[in-house]
Amino acid sequence: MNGAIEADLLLDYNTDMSVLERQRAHLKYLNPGFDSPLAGFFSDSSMINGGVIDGFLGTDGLNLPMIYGQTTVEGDPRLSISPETMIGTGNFKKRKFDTETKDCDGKKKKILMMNREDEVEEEDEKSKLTEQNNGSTKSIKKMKNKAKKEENSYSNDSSKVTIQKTDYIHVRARRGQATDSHSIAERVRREKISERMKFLQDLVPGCDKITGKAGMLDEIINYVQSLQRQIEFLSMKLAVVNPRPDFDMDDIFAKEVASTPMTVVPSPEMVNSGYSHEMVNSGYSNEMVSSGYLHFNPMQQVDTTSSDPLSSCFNNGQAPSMWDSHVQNLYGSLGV
Amino acid sequence: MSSYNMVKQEFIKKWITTLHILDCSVEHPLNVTERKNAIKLSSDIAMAAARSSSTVWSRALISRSGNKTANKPMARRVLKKARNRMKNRCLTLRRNGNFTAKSGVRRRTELLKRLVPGGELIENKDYLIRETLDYIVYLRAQVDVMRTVAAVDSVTGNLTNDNN
Repeated sequence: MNGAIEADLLLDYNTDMSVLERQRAHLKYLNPGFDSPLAGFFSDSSMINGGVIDGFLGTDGLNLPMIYGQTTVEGDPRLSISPETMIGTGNFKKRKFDTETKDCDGKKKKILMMNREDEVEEEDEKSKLTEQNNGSTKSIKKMKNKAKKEENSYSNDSSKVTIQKTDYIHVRARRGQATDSHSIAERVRREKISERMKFLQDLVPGCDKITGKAGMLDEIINYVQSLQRQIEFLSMKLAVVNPRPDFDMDDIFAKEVASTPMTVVPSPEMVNSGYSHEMVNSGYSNEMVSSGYLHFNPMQQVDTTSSDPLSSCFNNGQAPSMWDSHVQNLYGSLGV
Repeated sequence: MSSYNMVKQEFIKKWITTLHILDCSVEHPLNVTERKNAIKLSSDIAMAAARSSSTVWSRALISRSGNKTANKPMARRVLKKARNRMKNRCLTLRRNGNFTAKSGVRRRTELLKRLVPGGELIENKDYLIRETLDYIVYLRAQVDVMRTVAAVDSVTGNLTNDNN
């Protein structure tokens, strides 16, 4: 899989690794234990669907551990490279500056570019494994920065061997290409966009053959529309089957909690086990018995009318935030 | 691999709560359309709530749902800020961007902006695609959960009918 992805990348670029690939190879070098957190992201969904091939959804077996992204890596002071963080959906600022480096062969000119990511979100955490390229890591090892005015502060920061919250991506120009900082930034931006497009390609099934932005966007639009239509259809189906809106949840809830002592909120293992035998198999009699019994449980969750069960449900132990209060007030408007 | 399951788990937790709340608040019996709308609304809210406020689409979805629910003064006051911000920005954007996009990419991005909640507010194409990615993941989770529930329900519905 990884080989396929990288081969795909190599087709598009020169034999030299693209700037992003080099970044990642460097990351991999610095943090060998890192693995794609969302590996098997889509293989799971294919399991859940139980092999039901939805015609529109196409291949559900997206077994790609994909995704692009960066990780937190401890900065090596020698390299004066600051670590990267995960892509957040927060603010995104760019800064550029030039540095000169000494290489062992001294032929390539290196230019650094800084990116700043403020927020870190787990759901946005995507990473792509690339194979380590010995040559590139060697060249990165031997890099050395000369400081300019702006750069001094950053290299001072990176000299402390701590994982910083604001992180930087260092980019190198390839040989024989414009080393202007603007074009470097432009190139990185383009590569990022194309990489994201590739990710989208994997996310949206049936996109392999399509190149070009317009076609890709078409597919994305179709996919989003189809998902939204499916939701409409499924909610109608649920409405038809159940006499009351909340009735359907009791069964799922019962199944989740049936195997273990009663808890208000299902624990991860229970939910997963609920998913694993979601279908016809076991525990229907179990469910019939316990569904009535467990009726009390979900109702309790609501009847206690304090914000605490709700907030614990929402926050999962985190401090309540403006967002949660918005959501809870929305719930209040629904309920009261 | 557990991240996707965690997404679904978050979603299902919030959906359960929302459905219960909705059920308490509305009088029975509801006809099919109302039930369907309640289910859809609750699942949209749950999906947006499962995703924290750091994405534009989740905020937009919450504010949009706030319009649909019964307009209690309390909710209105609290959500007013978010809703008005969204509404005003949407309006100004529509007024400014009244030309029809000719080139394919431009036209499609505008279509995508309309599809993704809150998409119209996003200027940067880069960011729009990122939001779309995130939105697709959560939509997918929602669809999977609903499909599971529907499948379970169809089976258990048969069983309960037999018992009756």
